[in-house]
Amino acid sequence: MTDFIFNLFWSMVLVGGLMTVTRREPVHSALWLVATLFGLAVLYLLMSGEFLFAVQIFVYAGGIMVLYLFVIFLVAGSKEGEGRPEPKLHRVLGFVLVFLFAPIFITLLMGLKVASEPEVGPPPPAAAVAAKNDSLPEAIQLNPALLGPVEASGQKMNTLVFGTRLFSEYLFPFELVSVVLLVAMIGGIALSRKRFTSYSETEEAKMLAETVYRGVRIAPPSGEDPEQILQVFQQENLERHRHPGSDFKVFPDYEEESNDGSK
Amino acid sequence: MEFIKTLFNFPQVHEWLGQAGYPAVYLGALAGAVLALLIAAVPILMSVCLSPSRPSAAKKAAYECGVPPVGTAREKQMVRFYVVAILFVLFDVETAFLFPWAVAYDMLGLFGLIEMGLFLAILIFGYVYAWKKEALDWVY
Amino acid sequence: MTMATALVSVLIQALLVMLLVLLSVAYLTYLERKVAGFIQVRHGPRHVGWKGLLQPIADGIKLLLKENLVPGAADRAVFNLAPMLVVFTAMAVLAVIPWAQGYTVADINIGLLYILSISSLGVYGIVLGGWASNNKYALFASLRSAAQNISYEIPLAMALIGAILYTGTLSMGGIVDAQERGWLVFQNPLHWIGFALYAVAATAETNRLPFDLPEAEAELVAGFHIEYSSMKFALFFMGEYINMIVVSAIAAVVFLGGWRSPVTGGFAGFWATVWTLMGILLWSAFSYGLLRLAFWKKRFLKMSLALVGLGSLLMILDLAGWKAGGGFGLLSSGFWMLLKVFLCLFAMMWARWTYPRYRYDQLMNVCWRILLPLSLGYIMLSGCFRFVANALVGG
Repeated sequence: MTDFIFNLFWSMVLVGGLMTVTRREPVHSALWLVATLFGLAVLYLLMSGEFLFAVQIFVYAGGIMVLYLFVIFLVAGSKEGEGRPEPKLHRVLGFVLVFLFAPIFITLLMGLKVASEPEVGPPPPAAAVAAKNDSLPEAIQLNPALLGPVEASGQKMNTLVFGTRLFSEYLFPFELVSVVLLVAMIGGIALSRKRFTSYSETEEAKMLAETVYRGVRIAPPSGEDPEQILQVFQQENLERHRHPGSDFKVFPDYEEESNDGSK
Repeated sequence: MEFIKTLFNFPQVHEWLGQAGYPAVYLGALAGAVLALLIAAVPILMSVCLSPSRPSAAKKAAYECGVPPVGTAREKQMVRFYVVAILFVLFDVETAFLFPWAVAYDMLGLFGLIEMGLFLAILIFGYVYAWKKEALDWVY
Repeated sequence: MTMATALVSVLIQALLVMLLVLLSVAYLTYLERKVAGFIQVRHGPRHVGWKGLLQPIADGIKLLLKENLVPGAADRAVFNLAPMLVVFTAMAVLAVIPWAQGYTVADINIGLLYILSISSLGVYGIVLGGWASNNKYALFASLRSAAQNISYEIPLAMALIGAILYTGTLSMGGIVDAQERGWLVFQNPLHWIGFALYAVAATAETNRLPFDLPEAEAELVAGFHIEYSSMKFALFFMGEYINMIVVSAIAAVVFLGGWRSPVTGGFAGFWATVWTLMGILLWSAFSYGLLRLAFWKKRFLKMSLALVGLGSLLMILDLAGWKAGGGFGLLSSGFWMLLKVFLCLFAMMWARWTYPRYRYDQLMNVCWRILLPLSLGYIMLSGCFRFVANALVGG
């Protein structure tokens, strides 16, 4: 049973990964990546990493992938780089990387296969846990009266064990994480702000042109010819009139294709 | 008969699953997920089988309040959404740390409280920065 | 017993829970319309069947037989996947909720985190639904909706963290067990803040008014499901109602003592007595309000009297410590859990037909400028209180 589920999600990770790199539509790629991350989470679960399972879905599948989707939407429709031939170097580099990483990846997966049977060994003796606790600096020692549940959980990496160890033994890395997050926050805001102002300016210009196009004459921006804006906008609009995927015309002939049913 | 009785003796089944070891507890979650998938898929299949299908060009066009659609919808979107998403990811990671902290809180004592206070203080600094830099403002 | 038997048994249990929830969803739509009718001084549905009780079934058949339209410019596969994702993520978490004492399909160690993480995938249903439709309204609505959902996920999770400090476990059964001496909202007035934060964030998470920006009819026509018809359209609504049930169940389990009656602590010790008295007070106030309403609108009279009578009886039996056999336990615990869930659902409906919708910038401001600092403060205060309590009681 466990084996079957393990194989199922192992394949899901593999297929998801392959589909991620082979889809042309970025949104599809992102979706397959979500599937991959979900499969990975279930693998963690099967390897006794309960908490990791939940966090993998909570942070990666539910958080970071939404960010990816937003970025995809952000750059959607941009014509930059389209139609340009792919640089040869990229392809060569891609192949080299694949051949470099494939063995590592396969070895890793084989390693996972062995570990698929969760090993919940006998809990460590109470004395050993107490000794380990005593060896820590006094300030970060755990409450000795409550050590029971940690011992009883054995090798299982559940939330309690994760919490007690993270916040006592790995205290310094944990505090460092907050600094990393701070840097990420400031960086993200700084980068997006720059982009945001320039974007809004162009949007404003477009809206102005549209107002002129609709026939409402307003004062043109200094130094620009409203007639020219109008012409450019009409040209653009003609190109955009074709609606992709449907043969629906802008001003369809309703008499011809009235509700005559499917053909 | 005995078998059916066993099937419907839910507390006994759970007791057995509890003793069976670690992954067995998740059997119920697995059953829930499989059934949820079925419940999500069956209505769509049923409606595909039962409902009529008479598409026409006008029906297939995107609905824009009766005005013929212009262009594709997949245009560039506002960068504002991206800022929200990046803030969300950071606070999401923070939340992921808060969960084990809350669970292990009684074990950690005062030290845990101070530790988390420091962690949050550093992040609140970033939050104040975001506020001051108007990253939290929503303007069109 | 073998693994196969256990698997069949949990499948039956999960099926039972899900069928009951599906039935409740059908009748929640009915209830919603009846509540709306009551609030707006008109009748709700009343023509199909006795008092309109067959209306949800008629609606279901109608939706099933409607034409299944897929826009020409849509991304077919993703278009079909999106409503399925919404229902799947809402349905899959039902298995870890304790519906009565000892009646959880899977009482896993990380129950609450499991619910939060699986529900966080629900946002894809909305984003992809809007994107795949290739409609400007839909795409814009889905982006807005995704931004709203992810923003409100943070105060939601943080409000729960403040409560978890007190329960010390993420398992749904464990959380109810930890409230043995009294519900969490009775234990410390601090948790009222947590409960309020949770209520606001959960309403926003389920896209209900006053936070229903994703489907704001006035500005976005119908939001992300503008291009959806037939059963796929219905699935989005099913997802919304199942999500309502899920968030109500979390509120009941984490803050309101799950399947415990208001007098759960009895008179063992000083604080337990105080909390029991508060529970009795709460139940009396609730009964009084309900009966006032019932005597004003006579059509609720029988229903209200039955509810108050049964609740009072179960409470007295609980106080007397009468736990004769499993039957009483199931009846009592099931009654209290379902009553709490129902009251939370009713409160959401009440809010929907009372408040106007937020503007989008106000919505984001409420989350990032008010709820987030409040929830951080709630966590730290909760930690301080817990530390002091531990120090006083002695570990």
